[in-house]
Amino acid sequence: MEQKNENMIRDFKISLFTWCLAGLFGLSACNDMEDMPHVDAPVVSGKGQLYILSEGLFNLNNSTLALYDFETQQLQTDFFQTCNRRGLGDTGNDMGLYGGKLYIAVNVSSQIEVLQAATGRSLARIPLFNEAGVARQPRYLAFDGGKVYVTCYDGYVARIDTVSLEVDALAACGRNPEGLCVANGKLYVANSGGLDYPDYDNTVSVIDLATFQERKRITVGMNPGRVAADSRGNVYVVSRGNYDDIPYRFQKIDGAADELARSFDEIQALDFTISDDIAYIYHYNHTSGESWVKVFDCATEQVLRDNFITDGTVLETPYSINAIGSDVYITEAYNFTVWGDVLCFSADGRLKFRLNDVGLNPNKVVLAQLSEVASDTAQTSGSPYINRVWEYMPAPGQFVNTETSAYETGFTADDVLAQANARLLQSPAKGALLSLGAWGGYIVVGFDHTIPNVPGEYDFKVYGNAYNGSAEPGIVLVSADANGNGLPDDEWYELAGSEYGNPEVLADYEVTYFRPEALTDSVCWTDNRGQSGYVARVSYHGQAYYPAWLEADSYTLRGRRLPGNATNTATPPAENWVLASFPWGYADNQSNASDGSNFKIDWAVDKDGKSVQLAGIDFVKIYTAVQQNCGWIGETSTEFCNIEDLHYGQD
Amino acid sequence: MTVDRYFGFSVRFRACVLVMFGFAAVCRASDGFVLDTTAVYDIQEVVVTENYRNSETRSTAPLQILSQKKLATLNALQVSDAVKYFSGVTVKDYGGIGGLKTVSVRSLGAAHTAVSYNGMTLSDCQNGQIDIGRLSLENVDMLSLANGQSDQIFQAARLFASAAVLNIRTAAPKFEDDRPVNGKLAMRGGSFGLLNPSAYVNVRLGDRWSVHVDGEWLYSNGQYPYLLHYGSAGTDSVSRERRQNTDVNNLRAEAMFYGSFSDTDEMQVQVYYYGSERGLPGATIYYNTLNFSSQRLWDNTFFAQAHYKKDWDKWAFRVDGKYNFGYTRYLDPTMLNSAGREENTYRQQEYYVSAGGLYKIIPNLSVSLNTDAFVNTLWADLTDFSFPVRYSWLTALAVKYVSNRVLATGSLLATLTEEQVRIGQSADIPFRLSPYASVSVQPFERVDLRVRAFYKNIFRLPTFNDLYYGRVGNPDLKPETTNQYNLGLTYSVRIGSYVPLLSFTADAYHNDVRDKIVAFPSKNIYTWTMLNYGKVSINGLDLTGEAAFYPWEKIGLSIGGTYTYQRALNVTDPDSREYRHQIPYTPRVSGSGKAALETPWVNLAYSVVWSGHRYAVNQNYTENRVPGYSDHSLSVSRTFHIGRTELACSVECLNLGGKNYEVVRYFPMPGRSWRASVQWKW
Repeated sequence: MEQKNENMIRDFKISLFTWCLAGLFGLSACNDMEDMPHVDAPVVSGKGQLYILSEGLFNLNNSTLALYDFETQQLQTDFFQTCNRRGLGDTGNDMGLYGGKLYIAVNVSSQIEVLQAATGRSLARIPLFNEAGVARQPRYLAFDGGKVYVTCYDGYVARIDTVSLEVDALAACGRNPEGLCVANGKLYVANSGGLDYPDYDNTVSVIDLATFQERKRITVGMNPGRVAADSRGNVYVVSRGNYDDIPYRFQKIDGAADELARSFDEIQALDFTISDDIAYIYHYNHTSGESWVKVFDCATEQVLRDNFITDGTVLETPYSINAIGSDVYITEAYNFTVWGDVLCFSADGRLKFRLNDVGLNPNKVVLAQLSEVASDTAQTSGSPYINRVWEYMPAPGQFVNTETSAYETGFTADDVLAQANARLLQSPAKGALLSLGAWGGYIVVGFDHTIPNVPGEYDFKVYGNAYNGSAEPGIVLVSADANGNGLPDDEWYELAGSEYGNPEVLADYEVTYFRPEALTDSVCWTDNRGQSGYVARVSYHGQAYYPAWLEADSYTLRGRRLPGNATNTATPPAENWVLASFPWGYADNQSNASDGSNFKIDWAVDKDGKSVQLAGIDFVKIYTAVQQNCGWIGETSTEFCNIEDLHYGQD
Repeated sequence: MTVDRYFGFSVRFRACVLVMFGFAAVCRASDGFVLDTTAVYDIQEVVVTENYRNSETRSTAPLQILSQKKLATLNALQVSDAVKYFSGVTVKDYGGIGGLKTVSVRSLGAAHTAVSYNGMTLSDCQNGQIDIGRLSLENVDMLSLANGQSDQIFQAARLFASAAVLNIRTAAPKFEDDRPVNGKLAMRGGSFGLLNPSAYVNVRLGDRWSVHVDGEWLYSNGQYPYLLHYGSAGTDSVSRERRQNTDVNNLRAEAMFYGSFSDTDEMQVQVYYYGSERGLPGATIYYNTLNFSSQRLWDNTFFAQAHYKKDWDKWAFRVDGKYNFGYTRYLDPTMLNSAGREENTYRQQEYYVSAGGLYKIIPNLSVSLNTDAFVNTLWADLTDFSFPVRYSWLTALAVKYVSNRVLATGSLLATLTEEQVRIGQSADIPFRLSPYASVSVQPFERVDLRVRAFYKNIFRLPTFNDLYYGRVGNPDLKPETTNQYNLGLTYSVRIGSYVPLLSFTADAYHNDVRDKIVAFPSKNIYTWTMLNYGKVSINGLDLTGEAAFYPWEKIGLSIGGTYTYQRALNVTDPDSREYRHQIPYTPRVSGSGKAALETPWVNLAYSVVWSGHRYAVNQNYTENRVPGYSDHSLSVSRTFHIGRTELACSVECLNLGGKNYEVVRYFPMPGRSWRASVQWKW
């Protein structure tokens, strides 16, 4: 009996132990957490593309740029990341659209990110650090005359040239500048002194745009923040007090006298926006959680409505306000730790639509009508730039059949050429460009005058979107209107760049591209060397890559093919594509700011490779020089923006 | 396959391996795993050092203990490294030796864990949480973590006043062979410029007194390389960087006097000094990794504490006192203000007295009354600083019943707090009563299987920063309240001499947090405020297992593991988009494992901590996801006997996988690194 009992106990012990083990196995099989889904993507009608910058949270590198395309009714919350395979960085503070480019001030990362609005591709990332390497911390942006002005928290305004995309000057202002605006040929900069709490600043610096020097400081209320101007040159500023006994105030500066004209003490304001001389002013009381939006007429200095919102829409935590045309966009941040929304109101205060779940702390909304940008053509006579696109025939590529190939649904070849003209015939500051697609895709452009050949000097510059590590070289050919008929039907001469003599160059090369069976399949090609390949598809450009406006099911392009210039410097499966620049002589191969994008007509050679001396040229032809697919960034395609006569205006 | 997916898979895989490898304990047979039922009758409640696992399985609330021997096998340098091996804890580690490390038990938040050092609570009224990375393991004799509270009822009232207690006990002097003096010299060095000499000496001062004097210096430049990922997809950009501004320079000096006047009469007096200077490396900010971090921090902590205890037949009495002084200086030399720098100095002081009595009503039943009074002050050179002073009076009445098969305790804690400020409004914190009850029952006499349960209601006071810090502080804050319910099972068995120990504990729990104190950033980054906003509901399961095997004489293998499953959900607002999302930095699954092989030639120790993924921000969106990780370490050590002295050498390889995983997003951990140490005991 005793023995039996012992056995029972032992059995019990063992079975208990086994049971526990089994329990542990069961638990280890428990799945880890699943990510929660986002709120369903909204379907909203409208026109254009809505870009939404979300600030994220401090130290989390999670600023995002979202894109809502009204045409496709798709919301892409990570547009920048998808297009560039890297994040924007930490605390994106402000964003603006200028000349087809989006400029984003990323405060903690201390960078200005410049991207092509249409493609989302970064053109440049401009670091802002002082000589000692300390971050200047960019805050807000303003645009004027081909320049971007950025307030830097270290007491400067930086000026960025929109062509070179580099800081070309700094102007000192007051302490910890916040908002800024351009009016009356001057820049108005709010000096907050926010980091000297409680000893705030209370001035607005006036900086002369021509000299880029501070001219005056206007005394306003304590701790000024946002500024904006109306059409008559009056400048409005929000002074935020000390967040304690000195309240927020809305104030007006007389733009002619550059003096504080009036302080609207009854209007507490956190932020505001002006459109058509109507100011939409909002305030949020953090203690009570109450908020309101007022409508203010800048002409009469009267509050038109105490409550802008008329349809009962409730805002929990309004975080920014942007008036675009007659619409007012207000962002909702909730408790700052969940993703917020964008609400669009009509001028009469009714909610037009709401985009939910766009990003963490959305703080800036920009609406782009990219076709409007393209039709805004400055057809001036007497220009150093191109005056006509004669031919445009891209090879298949990821931007073909998008506005970057001058295409809209239903366009014929003639429509595309007309749209290409509309798109490019504008000042280069506007920066619209056309993609030439894979190898052989070309464009032929002309000028309103002959570009002279000044021996030994650079004669013209070709603008593209190359930067260090992102060269998509195109071969440049020139032609003089020898028969004088004004048409590009004369002999073409290649400008022999650095690779002209490279033994790996394939001369007399031809590629035929075939329309795929299913339009969204990869486009296959064969060449005249018995080789074949395809133009790789990329995940974020889902349209057909074969030109939709072509009736033929295949087409052949001819020229010379340069060896590839791309290397993946990361260890697969990671990808980090470096597209190295050739030393000289190719379009979209070196940055617009460098001499590497300049060309000498002296380099011209004929079909046999003999040097040719031309007195001047009237036409330029450019085609994509390489045939390569680079993983996630897709095929290499030369992008063309414009050409500038470097002797223009000189005797 | 993306890196993320790969990683998720590997974590799960490792979890399985861990469980297969089992359960258990780093516990030597010589520790003598014998059920010592008489010990629990002992009114003095002395924890028998050889019987830690025994204490763990008979405790009414989960108690986890790491003895000095176990600590030696964990490849741990700081207290924080060892705490990661406890089940149910989340150590928030900002990376590197100098990075902040705080411990949250069962998702309640770091401010709910009290840290006691030789029986007296370390306090930080300013931040409410203790940086356990600053506490050295060099002289630690025992580290334990008690959920709820421990079964000891004869202790300071303050140790009843938190949701969990991490207890650090330093080694008392031991004398052998009648030698009145002994000591140790040790040197440790390793990757990233680590240099860590230490020494102690024990001296017997007559019949009644002995003294232990201990000191160490630690330096590390901490400049470890890491990969910065510019996105979570495997194909996103990556750059190779090196951590900057990570140097640490610490000095610790302690002296402890032990007085033993009779068997019933003892006294301890301790003085402690810790001084440090360190860089604050900051998050790895995209495109600004070199310049972002240049802040410096200087810390000085000094305390002196004394403990006296006397036992009578049915009575025991104790009195404790402490004075604590903390000095912190913070410098940001790149601040974009007029001065071009920001520099702040903070001084904290605490005056503390505690007294208590224990009365044994019948042999099985005792009752205690403990009362603590203390004053905390904070001084800072900030503009408009309020200079708060907090007066606290805590009284705990507790009762305990002990029999062979039943252990039960209950307590009621009364808290009275009064605050004064020189500028502004002071907080008005109401009087509170906090109950606790626990029980453990052994249903079958011959099977060491116990069922246990506890309930605790407790709160944490808002910190001085919560209440008074510039515009952030909100003096209207209420305390943050927690309720804990735990139901558990413990089992241990000895199977002959080959398997002297197999033990297992499983605890299921429900916690809730109300009036959670959260920071709300507002319109600009300089205006935040604190609010009682959140509610958290936590359901979890903690498992621990230990086993020791002695297959051959002189060869021992001990293994152990923990597994934690927790759903810590934000249940603040059903209409919000974070409702029922897992709270930030709380993994659903996590665990640890350890194995030690003892041979006559060398000792090998392997340890691992792993965690499933977490979210860095409130919403459980893919964008907020921080991947899971596992961190494996291995060490080889050997001890040589030279005459009457002992020379021990060890080499450790840390984070064998070499991946710069992140516990806190954008604070990468060091990759593979090395440490070697030599110590000489005489």
